[in-house]
Amino acid sequence: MSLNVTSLKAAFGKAFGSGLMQKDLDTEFLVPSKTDAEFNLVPTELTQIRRAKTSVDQVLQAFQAAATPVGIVSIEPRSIDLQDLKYELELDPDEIEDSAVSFFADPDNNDRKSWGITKYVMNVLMIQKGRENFELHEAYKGVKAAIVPGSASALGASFNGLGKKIAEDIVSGAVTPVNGAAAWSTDPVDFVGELETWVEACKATSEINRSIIENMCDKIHMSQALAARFRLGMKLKYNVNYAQVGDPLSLFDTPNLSVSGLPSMSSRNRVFMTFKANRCAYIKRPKSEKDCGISEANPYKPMIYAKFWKALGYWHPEYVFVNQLV
Amino acid sequence: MAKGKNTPQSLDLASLSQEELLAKATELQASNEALVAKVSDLEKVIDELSQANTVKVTGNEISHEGKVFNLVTPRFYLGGQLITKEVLEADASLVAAAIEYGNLVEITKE
Repeated sequence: MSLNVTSLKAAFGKAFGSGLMQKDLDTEFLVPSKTDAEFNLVPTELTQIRRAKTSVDQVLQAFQAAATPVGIVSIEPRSIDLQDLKYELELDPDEIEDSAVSFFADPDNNDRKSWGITKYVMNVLMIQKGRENFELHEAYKGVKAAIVPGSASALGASFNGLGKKIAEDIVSGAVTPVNGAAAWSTDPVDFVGELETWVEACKATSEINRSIIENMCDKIHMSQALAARFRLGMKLKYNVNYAQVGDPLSLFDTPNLSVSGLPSMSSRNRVFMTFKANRCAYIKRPKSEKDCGISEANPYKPMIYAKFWKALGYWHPEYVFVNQLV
Repeated sequence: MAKGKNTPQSLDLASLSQEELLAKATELQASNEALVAKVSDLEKVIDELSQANTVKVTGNEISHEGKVFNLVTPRFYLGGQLITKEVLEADASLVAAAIEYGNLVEITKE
Protein backbone atom coordinates (compact mmCIF):
# COMPACT_ATOMS: atom_id res chain seq x y z
CA MET A 1 0.00 0.00 0.00
CA SER A 2 1.72 3.18 -1.18
CA LEU A 3 -0.87 5.48 0.40
CA ASN A 4 -1.14 4.79 4.10
CA VAL A 5 -4.25 6.16 5.84
CA THR A 6 -4.75 3.25 8.25
CA SER A 7 -4.18 5.28 11.43
CA LEU A 8 -6.36 8.11 10.10
CA LYS A 9 -9.23 5.70 9.51
CA ALA A 10 -8.72 4.10 12.92
CA ALA A 11 -8.87 7.44 14.73
CA PHE A 12 -11.37 9.44 12.68
CA GLY A 13 -13.48 6.57 11.40
CA LYS A 14 -14.50 5.54 7.94
CA ALA A 15 -16.76 7.35 5.50
CA PHE A 16 -16.76 10.51 7.51
CA GLY A 17 -17.74 12.73 4.60
CA SER A 18 -15.28 15.59 4.14
CA GLY A 19 -14.08 15.76 7.71
CA LEU A 20 -10.87 17.64 6.95
CA MET A 21 -9.91 20.29 4.45
CA GLN A 22 -6.54 20.92 2.86
CA LYS A 23 -5.97 23.77 5.34
CA ASP A 24 -6.15 21.16 8.13
CA LEU A 25 -3.23 19.19 6.72
CA ASP A 26 0.22 19.93 8.09
CA THR A 27 3.15 18.88 5.98
CA GLU A 28 6.09 17.18 7.68
CA PHE A 29 9.00 19.52 8.19
CA LEU A 30 11.47 19.21 5.36
CA VAL A 31 15.01 20.56 5.14
CA PRO A 32 15.58 22.71 2.03
CA SER A 33 18.77 22.23 0.04
CA LYS A 34 21.07 24.91 1.44
CA THR A 35 24.03 23.42 -0.39
CA ASP A 36 22.31 23.96 -3.76
CA ALA A 37 21.80 27.62 -2.85
CA GLU A 38 25.36 28.12 -1.57
CA PHE A 39 26.75 26.56 -4.75
CA ASN A 40 24.69 28.89 -6.99
CA LEU A 41 22.28 26.38 -8.58
CA VAL A 42 21.78 27.29 -12.23
CA PRO A 43 19.47 25.59 -14.78
CA THR A 44 21.05 24.24 -17.93
CA GLU A 45 20.16 22.18 -20.99
CA LEU A 46 23.51 20.35 -21.05
CA THR A 47 24.69 17.15 -19.38
CA GLN A 48 28.29 18.31 -19.26
CA ILE A 49 29.33 21.89 -18.60
CA ARG A 50 32.69 22.95 -19.99
CA ARG A 51 34.99 25.82 -19.21
CA ALA A 52 38.70 26.43 -19.57
CA LYS A 53 41.34 28.11 -17.47
CA THR A 54 43.85 30.36 -19.15
CA SER A 55 47.20 31.13 -17.60
CA VAL A 56 50.64 32.40 -18.55
CA ASP A 57 53.90 32.07 -16.68
CA GLN A 58 56.63 34.75 -16.48
CA VAL A 59 56.21 37.72 -18.83
CA LEU A 60 58.27 40.44 -17.14
CA GLN A 61 62.00 40.79 -17.86
CA ALA A 62 64.77 43.36 -17.84
CA PHE A 63 65.24 45.39 -21.02
CA GLN A 64 67.76 44.51 -23.68
CA ALA A 65 67.72 45.35 -27.36
CA ALA A 66 67.90 41.70 -28.46
CA ALA A 67 64.61 39.81 -28.76
CA THR A 68 64.29 37.46 -25.74
CA PRO A 69 60.65 36.34 -25.55
CA VAL A 70 59.49 34.53 -22.38
CA GLY A 71 56.14 33.18 -21.23
CA ILE A 72 54.03 30.18 -22.13
CA VAL A 73 50.28 30.63 -22.41
CA SER A 74 48.24 27.59 -21.28
CA ILE A 75 44.57 26.87 -21.74
CA GLU A 76 43.44 23.96 -19.61
CA PRO A 77 40.06 22.25 -19.91
CA ARG A 78 37.60 22.07 -17.02
CA SER A 79 34.36 20.10 -17.10
CA ILE A 80 31.60 18.99 -14.78
CA ASP A 81 29.31 16.09 -15.61
CA LEU A 82 25.68 16.19 -14.53
CA GLN A 83 24.34 12.98 -13.03
CA ASP A 84 20.85 11.67 -13.75
CA LEU A 85 18.33 11.19 -10.95
CA LYS A 86 14.64 10.51 -10.77
CA TYR A 87 11.55 10.64 -8.59
CA GLU A 88 9.05 7.82 -9.03
CA LEU A 89 6.13 7.43 -6.65
CA GLU A 90 3.05 5.27 -7.10
CA LEU A 91 -0.23 6.10 -5.34
CA ASP A 92 -3.44 4.19 -4.79
CA PRO A 93 -5.87 7.13 -4.32
CA ASP A 94 -8.88 4.85 -3.76
CA GLU A 95 -7.57 4.31 -0.21
CA ILE A 96 -8.81 7.74 0.85
CA GLU A 97 -12.33 7.59 -0.58
CA ASP A 98 -13.83 6.36 2.69
CA SER A 99 -11.61 8.41 5.00
CA ALA A 100 -11.62 11.84 6.62
CA VAL A 101 -9.58 13.20 3.72
CA SER A 102 -12.09 12.09 1.10
CA PHE A 103 -12.26 15.70 -0.12
CA PHE A 104 -9.03 14.77 -1.92
CA ALA A 105 -10.88 12.10 -3.92
CA ASP A 106 -13.13 12.77 -6.91
CA PRO A 107 -15.38 9.71 -7.32
CA ASP A 108 -17.21 11.24 -10.30
CA ASN A 109 -13.96 11.35 -12.17
CA ASN A 110 -12.37 8.05 -13.16
CA ASP A 111 -9.14 9.78 -14.04
CA ARG A 112 -7.27 9.36 -10.78
CA LYS A 113 -4.32 11.40 -11.92
CA SER A 114 -6.48 14.52 -11.65
CA TRP A 115 -7.66 13.73 -8.13
CA GLY A 116 -6.63 16.22 -5.47
CA ILE A 117 -4.50 13.70 -3.60
CA THR A 118 -2.37 13.03 -6.68
CA LYS A 119 -1.79 16.74 -7.31
CA TYR A 120 -1.04 17.35 -3.65
CA VAL A 121 1.54 14.58 -3.38
CA MET A 122 3.13 15.61 -6.66
CA ASN A 123 3.35 19.36 -6.07
CA VAL A 124 3.76 19.63 -2.32
CA LEU A 125 5.22 16.49 -0.83
CA MET A 126 7.42 14.77 -3.39
CA ILE A 127 9.44 17.69 -4.71
CA GLN A 128 10.20 19.08 -1.25
CA LYS A 129 11.14 15.64 0.06
CA GLY A 130 13.37 15.10 -2.97
CA ARG A 131 15.30 18.25 -2.15
CA GLU A 132 15.68 17.14 1.46
CA ASN A 133 16.89 13.68 0.38
CA PHE A 134 19.41 15.36 -1.89
CA GLU A 135 20.67 17.71 0.80
CA LEU A 136 20.96 15.22 3.64
CA HIS A 137 22.18 12.15 1.77
CA GLU A 138 23.58 13.00 -1.64
CA ALA A 139 24.88 16.58 -1.96
CA TYR A 140 27.99 15.98 0.15
CA LYS A 141 27.88 12.38 1.33
CA GLY A 142 26.54 10.65 -1.77
CA VAL A 143 28.59 7.84 -3.31
CA LYS A 144 26.83 6.39 -6.31
CA ALA A 145 26.56 2.62 -6.26
CA ALA A 146 26.15 0.38 -9.28
CA ILE A 147 22.54 0.25 -10.47
CA VAL A 148 20.74 -2.98 -9.61
CA PRO A 149 18.30 -3.47 -12.50
CA GLY A 150 14.72 -3.37 -11.24
CA SER A 151 15.58 -2.03 -7.74
CA ALA A 152 15.55 1.52 -6.47
CA SER A 153 18.95 2.77 -5.30
CA ALA A 154 19.45 3.44 -1.59
CA LEU A 155 19.70 6.92 -0.06
CA GLY A 156 23.27 8.11 -0.27
CA ALA A 157 24.03 5.75 -3.17
CA SER A 158 22.38 7.66 -6.01
CA PHE A 159 24.73 10.58 -6.68
CA ASN A 160 28.45 11.25 -6.37
CA GLY A 161 28.50 14.16 -3.92
CA LEU A 162 30.97 16.86 -3.06
CA GLY A 163 32.75 14.79 -0.40
CA LYS A 164 33.65 12.09 -2.92
CA LYS A 165 34.86 14.68 -5.42
CA ILE A 166 37.12 16.28 -2.81
CA ALA A 167 38.48 12.87 -1.72
CA GLU A 168 39.23 11.90 -5.33
CA ASP A 169 40.88 15.23 -6.06
CA ILE A 170 43.06 14.86 -2.96
CA VAL A 171 44.22 11.41 -4.09
CA SER A 172 44.94 12.67 -7.61
CA GLY A 173 46.85 15.64 -6.17
CA ALA A 174 44.50 18.23 -7.71
CA VAL A 175 43.44 19.44 -4.24
CA THR A 176 46.18 19.78 -1.63
CA PRO A 177 44.78 19.74 1.90
CA VAL A 178 46.15 22.22 4.41
CA ASN A 179 46.56 20.53 7.77
CA GLY A 180 44.38 22.03 10.47
CA ALA A 181 44.04 20.69 13.99
CA ALA A 182 44.69 16.95 14.30
CA ALA A 183 41.13 16.83 15.70
CA TRP A 184 38.82 19.83 16.15
CA SER A 185 38.53 20.90 19.77
CA THR A 186 35.12 20.58 21.38
CA ASP A 187 35.84 23.76 23.36
CA PRO A 188 34.25 26.61 21.33
CA VAL A 189 37.00 29.16 22.08
CA ASP A 190 39.75 26.68 21.20
CA PHE A 191 37.88 25.77 18.03
CA VAL A 192 37.77 29.42 16.92
CA GLY A 193 41.53 29.58 17.49
CA GLU A 194 42.09 26.38 15.52
CA LEU A 195 40.01 27.62 12.59
CA GLU A 196 41.85 30.96 12.62
CA THR A 197 45.16 29.09 12.62
CA TRP A 198 43.98 26.93 9.72
CA VAL A 199 43.00 29.99 7.65
CA GLU A 200 46.41 31.51 8.38
CA ALA A 201 48.06 28.22 7.33
CA CYS A 202 46.09 28.36 4.05
CA LYS A 203 47.28 31.91 3.47
CA ALA A 204 50.87 30.88 4.20
CA THR A 205 50.90 28.36 1.33
CA SER A 206 51.57 31.11 -1.24
CA GLU A 207 51.12 34.82 -1.82
CA ILE A 208 48.60 34.02 -4.56
CA ASN A 209 46.55 31.96 -2.11
CA ARG A 210 46.82 34.72 0.49
CA SER A 211 45.40 37.19 -2.01
CA ILE A 212 42.58 34.82 -2.98
CA ILE A 213 41.63 34.18 0.64
CA GLU A 214 41.83 37.81 1.73
CA ASN A 215 40.09 39.28 -1.30
CA MET A 216 37.90 36.71 -2.99
CA CYS A 217 36.87 33.91 -0.63
CA ASP A 218 33.55 34.56 1.06
CA LYS A 219 32.65 31.44 3.01
CA ILE A 220 34.06 28.50 4.92
CA HIS A 221 31.65 25.61 4.65
CA MET A 222 31.40 23.01 7.37
CA SER A 223 28.79 21.03 9.29
CA GLN A 224 26.12 22.98 11.12
CA ALA A 225 27.40 21.62 14.45
CA LEU A 226 30.89 23.04 13.79
CA ALA A 227 29.38 26.35 12.63
CA ALA A 228 27.36 26.60 15.85
CA ARG A 229 30.54 25.86 17.86
CA PHE A 230 32.32 28.64 15.98
CA ARG A 231 29.53 31.12 16.64
CA LEU A 232 29.56 30.39 20.37
CA GLY A 233 33.36 30.50 20.41
CA MET A 234 33.40 33.95 18.75
CA LYS A 235 30.99 35.22 21.38
CA LEU A 236 33.13 33.89 24.21
CA LYS A 237 36.46 34.88 22.68
CA TYR A 238 35.79 38.38 21.37
CA ASN A 239 32.39 39.64 22.45
CA VAL A 240 33.17 40.11 26.10
CA ASN A 241 34.75 43.57 25.91
CA TYR A 242 33.91 46.90 24.26
CA ALA A 243 35.12 46.14 20.72
CA GLN A 244 32.61 43.47 19.82
CA VAL A 245 32.38 41.52 16.60
CA GLY A 246 29.26 42.55 14.67
CA ASP A 247 28.82 39.23 12.89
CA PRO A 248 29.79 36.29 15.10
CA LEU A 249 30.02 34.04 12.02
CA SER A 250 32.73 36.08 10.30
CA LEU A 251 36.40 35.64 11.11
CA PHE A 252 38.02 38.29 13.29
CA ASP A 253 41.24 38.62 11.28
CA THR A 254 39.74 37.95 7.84
CA PRO A 255 36.30 39.57 8.02
CA ASN A 256 35.47 38.83 4.36
CA LEU A 257 35.26 35.16 5.38
CA SER A 258 32.22 33.87 7.17
CA VAL A 259 31.38 30.42 8.42
CA SER A 260 28.43 28.67 6.84
CA GLY A 261 27.00 25.44 8.25
CA LEU A 262 25.57 23.03 5.71
CA PRO A 263 23.06 20.28 6.60
CA SER A 264 24.74 18.18 3.90
CA MET A 265 28.05 18.11 5.84
CA SER A 266 26.59 16.90 9.16
CA SER A 267 28.91 14.73 11.27
CA ARG A 268 31.88 15.55 9.03
CA ASN A 269 35.07 17.25 10.22
CA ARG A 270 36.03 18.68 6.87
CA VAL A 271 36.06 22.43 6.30
CA PHE A 272 35.86 23.71 2.75
CA MET A 273 36.77 27.18 1.49
CA THR A 274 36.78 28.70 -1.96
CA PHE A 275 35.35 31.77 -3.68
CA LYS A 276 31.78 32.08 -4.92
CA ALA A 277 32.55 31.93 -8.66
CA ASN A 278 34.43 28.66 -8.15
CA ARG A 279 31.45 26.93 -6.53
CA CYS A 280 28.91 25.62 -8.98
CA ALA A 281 25.72 23.61 -9.10
CA TYR A 282 23.66 22.78 -12.17
CA ILE A 283 20.29 21.25 -12.84
CA LYS A 284 19.02 20.07 -16.20
CA ARG A 285 15.30 20.22 -16.94
CA PRO A 286 14.08 21.89 -13.75
CA LYS A 287 10.61 21.95 -15.32
CA SER A 288 10.66 18.19 -15.13
CA GLU A 289 11.47 18.28 -11.45
CA LYS A 290 8.51 20.57 -10.81
CA ASP A 291 6.06 19.42 -13.49
CA CYS A 292 6.19 15.68 -13.09
CA GLY A 293 4.79 13.14 -15.49
CA ILE A 294 1.98 10.80 -14.44
CA SER A 295 1.80 7.27 -15.77
CA GLU A 296 -1.46 5.33 -15.90
CA ALA A 297 -0.24 1.84 -16.66
CA ASN A 298 -2.66 0.85 -13.90
CA PRO A 299 -5.55 3.37 -13.98
CA TYR A 300 -6.15 2.90 -10.24
CA LYS A 301 -2.56 3.55 -9.34
CA PRO A 302 -1.15 6.66 -10.99
CA MET A 303 2.64 6.80 -10.90
CA ILE A 304 4.22 10.25 -10.57
CA TYR A 305 7.64 10.46 -12.14
CA ALA A 306 10.30 13.03 -12.97
CA LYS A 307 13.80 12.64 -14.35
CA PHE A 308 16.38 15.37 -13.99
CA TRP A 309 20.15 15.85 -13.89
CA LYS A 310 22.25 17.55 -11.24
CA ALA A 311 25.85 18.48 -10.63
CA LEU A 312 27.57 20.03 -7.63
CA GLY A 313 31.23 20.92 -7.43
CA TYR A 314 33.92 23.48 -8.22
CA TRP A 315 35.75 24.52 -11.35
CA HIS A 316 39.33 24.98 -10.19
CA PRO A 317 40.60 22.50 -7.58
CA GLU A 318 43.80 24.53 -7.11
CA TYR A 319 41.72 27.29 -5.50
CA VAL A 320 39.93 24.92 -3.13
CA PHE A 321 41.15 24.87 0.47
CA VAL A 322 40.25 21.92 2.67
CA ASN A 323 41.69 20.50 5.87
CA GLN A 324 42.99 16.95 6.16
CA LEU A 325 40.12 15.62 8.30
CA VAL A 326 37.16 13.88 6.69
CA MET B 1 101.01 7.16 18.74
CA ALA B 2 99.66 6.27 22.16
CA LYS B 3 99.20 2.59 22.72
CA GLY B 4 95.72 1.43 23.69
CA LYS B 5 95.11 -1.41 26.05
CA ASN B 6 94.38 -3.71 23.13
CA THR B 7 97.59 -2.86 21.28
CA PRO B 8 99.52 -6.11 20.85
CA GLN B 9 102.78 -6.21 22.83
CA SER B 10 105.87 -7.35 21.00
CA LEU B 11 106.75 -10.89 22.01
CA ASP B 12 110.08 -12.62 22.02
CA LEU B 13 108.69 -15.77 20.49
CA ALA B 14 112.06 -17.54 20.53
CA SER B 15 112.18 -17.41 24.35
CA LEU B 16 108.82 -19.15 24.76
CA SER B 17 108.30 -22.84 25.17
CA GLN B 18 105.89 -24.72 22.88
CA GLU B 19 103.21 -24.88 25.62
CA GLU B 20 103.53 -21.18 26.26
CA LEU B 21 103.23 -20.46 22.53
CA LEU B 22 100.10 -22.63 22.30
CA ALA B 23 98.56 -20.88 25.30
CA LYS B 24 99.33 -17.48 23.77
CA ALA B 25 97.79 -18.53 20.45
CA THR B 26 94.59 -19.72 22.17
CA GLU B 27 94.39 -16.49 24.14
CA LEU B 28 94.81 -14.42 20.96
CA GLN B 29 92.14 -16.40 19.13
CA ALA B 30 89.68 -15.91 21.99
CA SER B 31 90.24 -12.16 22.07
CA ASN B 32 89.91 -12.03 18.29
CA GLU B 33 86.54 -13.83 18.45
CA ALA B 34 85.37 -11.45 21.17
CA LEU B 35 86.30 -8.50 18.96
CA VAL B 36 84.42 -9.95 15.96
CA ALA B 37 81.34 -10.45 18.15
CA LYS B 38 81.57 -6.83 19.37
CA VAL B 39 81.87 -5.52 15.81
CA SER B 40 78.84 -7.56 14.77
CA ASP B 41 76.86 -6.15 17.74
CA LEU B 42 77.88 -2.63 16.75
CA GLU B 43 76.80 -3.25 13.16
CA LYS B 44 73.40 -4.36 14.43
CA VAL B 45 73.02 -1.17 16.51
CA ILE B 46 74.05 0.95 13.51
CA ASP B 47 71.52 -0.92 11.36
CA GLU B 48 68.73 -0.31 13.89
CA LEU B 49 69.63 3.36 14.22
CA SER B 50 69.72 3.92 10.49
CA GLN B 51 66.45 2.01 10.12
CA ALA B 52 64.85 4.33 12.68
CA ASN B 53 65.95 7.44 10.88
CA THR B 54 65.12 6.50 7.33
CA VAL B 55 61.91 6.60 5.42
CA LYS B 56 61.51 4.10 2.62
CA VAL B 57 58.92 4.91 0.00
CA THR B 58 57.39 2.19 -2.16
CA GLY B 59 54.55 3.53 -4.28
CA ASN B 60 52.07 5.00 -1.82
CA GLU B 61 53.49 3.03 1.12
CA ILE B 62 56.01 4.45 3.52
CA SER B 63 58.08 2.36 5.95
CA HIS B 64 59.47 3.98 9.05
CA GLU B 65 60.70 2.45 12.33
CA GLY B 66 59.61 -1.00 11.20
CA LYS B 67 56.03 0.11 10.54
CA VAL B 68 54.31 0.57 7.19
CA PHE B 69 52.06 3.56 6.54
CA ASN B 70 49.72 4.56 3.76
CA LEU B 71 50.02 8.13 2.52
CA VAL B 72 46.36 9.21 2.54
CA THR B 73 46.98 12.63 1.06
CA PRO B 74 49.81 12.50 -1.51
CA ARG B 75 50.42 16.23 -1.06
CA PHE B 76 49.56 18.36 1.93
CA TYR B 77 50.61 21.59 3.58
CA LEU B 78 52.04 21.53 7.08
CA GLY B 79 52.60 25.00 8.51
CA GLY B 80 52.87 26.51 5.03
CA GLN B 81 55.34 23.85 3.80
CA LEU B 82 54.29 21.55 0.98
CA ILE B 83 54.89 17.93 2.02
CA THR B 84 55.18 15.10 -0.49
CA LYS B 85 56.61 11.60 -0.17
CA GLU B 86 59.94 12.91 -1.49
CA VAL B 87 60.01 15.50 1.31
CA LEU B 88 59.19 12.81 3.90
CA GLU B 89 61.93 10.59 2.49
CA ALA B 90 64.46 13.38 2.85
CA ASP B 91 63.37 14.47 6.35
CA ALA B 92 62.22 11.64 8.62
CA SER B 93 61.42 14.08 11.42
CA LEU B 94 58.24 15.12 9.55
CA VAL B 95 56.81 11.60 9.69
CA ALA B 96 55.61 11.92 13.30
CA ALA B 97 53.64 15.08 12.44
CA ALA B 98 52.14 13.47 9.35
CA ILE B 99 50.96 10.55 11.51
CA GLU B 100 49.52 12.91 14.14
CA TYR B 101 47.53 14.89 11.56
CA GLY B 102 46.21 11.77 9.88
CA ASN B 103 48.07 12.17 6.58
CA LEU B 104 49.81 8.85 7.22
CA VAL B 105 47.77 5.89 8.41
CA GLU B 106 49.45 2.71 9.62
CA ILE B 107 48.66 -0.34 7.55
CA THR B 108 47.85 -3.29 9.78
CA LYS B 109 48.82 -6.46 8.05
CA GLU B 110 47.35 -9.74 9.22
